[in-house]
Amino acid sequence: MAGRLDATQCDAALKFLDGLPQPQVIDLAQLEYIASAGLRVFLLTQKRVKALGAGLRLINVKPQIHDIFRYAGFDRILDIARPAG
Amino acid sequence: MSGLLLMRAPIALIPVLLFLAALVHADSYKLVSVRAVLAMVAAGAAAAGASYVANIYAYVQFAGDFQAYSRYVSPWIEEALKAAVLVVLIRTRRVGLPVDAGIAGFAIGTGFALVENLYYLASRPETALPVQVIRGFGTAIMHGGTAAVLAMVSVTLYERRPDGGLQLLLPGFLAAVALHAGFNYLLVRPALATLATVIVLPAVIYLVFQHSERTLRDWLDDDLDSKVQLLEAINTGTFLDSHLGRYLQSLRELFRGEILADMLCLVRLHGELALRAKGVLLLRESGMEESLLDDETREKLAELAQLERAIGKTGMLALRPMMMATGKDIWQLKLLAP
Repeated sequence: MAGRLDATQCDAALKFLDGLPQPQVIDLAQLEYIASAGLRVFLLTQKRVKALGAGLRLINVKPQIHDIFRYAGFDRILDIARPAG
Repeated sequence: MSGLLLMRAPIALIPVLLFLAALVHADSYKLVSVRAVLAMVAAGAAAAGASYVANIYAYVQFAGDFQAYSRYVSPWIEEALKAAVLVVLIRTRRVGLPVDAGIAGFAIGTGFALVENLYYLASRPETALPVQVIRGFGTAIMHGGTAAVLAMVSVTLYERRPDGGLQLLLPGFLAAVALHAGFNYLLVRPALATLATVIVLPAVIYLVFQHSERTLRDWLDDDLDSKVQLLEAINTGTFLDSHLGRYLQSLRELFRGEILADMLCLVRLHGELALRAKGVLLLRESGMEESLLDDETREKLAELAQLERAIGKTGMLALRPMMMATGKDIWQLKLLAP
């Protein structure tokens, strides 16, 4: 995912992720901004994927984006990894 | 009371219970649990019991006939007793938005109406079933609707003035009494009273409900952004150069240095907890059951309370332009309570 995941983009993002049979790893190296709507996209996808017995993994998450997940408590629900190095 | 009477009472309430269930279902953020709704229905039933006693005493003192009493006296008593339950919920921030306030009010009114219907049926067993159903249904919608109106108007006023006194309940209370008295005025023609009530009140409540849901979603977005920016500024050491930071520095003339340090800690802590509360809302909206109340959050809540005590009432008032300025700012932390 790249750019901004805000209210104007979340519907398209969710539609795309819903179309994937079982998304497991999402690279957020190019994601610059996330709003509550974007957080919602990941929660709903995680809920769907968990029901299939899997889990979502977000990799290369920028520090400022990682902080948002951490403050919201979603680092306990999603597998989130910062960029290596 | 015969079994037939006990069976008739709920028949009139089925549509009301369905509307209440629809409101609970439409609550996207699950602000009110089913258990809480049942407790509010029970509280409304208790208020009806108290109303029975109060009305008996008041009617004895009243000089006019029963029709005049039902139009000009009993609405004040009954709405005041329903309001007493809502006052506790609103003042303790157990409800903070028109969404949960509307559900709470309607639940209390439903409980009130159930007991009132049972009493009416027991005292007039000869009344035909269709009349009982129409009257019971209209009364239930009226009681639920007036309590919901009172609750929704009141939390809207408390949103703007979270420290406001009980006088903020007055506009909603007067509206509830007026609606109740109007319904009783029309009761000489029960079908008309029921029709007017059923058409107007549920529609108003539902429209306010939907507006409140949209407003909550917008607030989630806006406040999430502002809290993230605040925490980034504090973490990167640029906060004091910001508008809020300059305001905090301006308080140096009024408060000792250690109080100012506590204020900055409080601002940061509140920001972190506010974001965690938004996480709770988002989880509920997504239909996920995980709890975000971990030991770290509990410790932060305890620390927040400690800092508020250390800063004192005057200091907290001085911080009001920076945080806890609206009812939602205060209410959201209740989401983190066990």
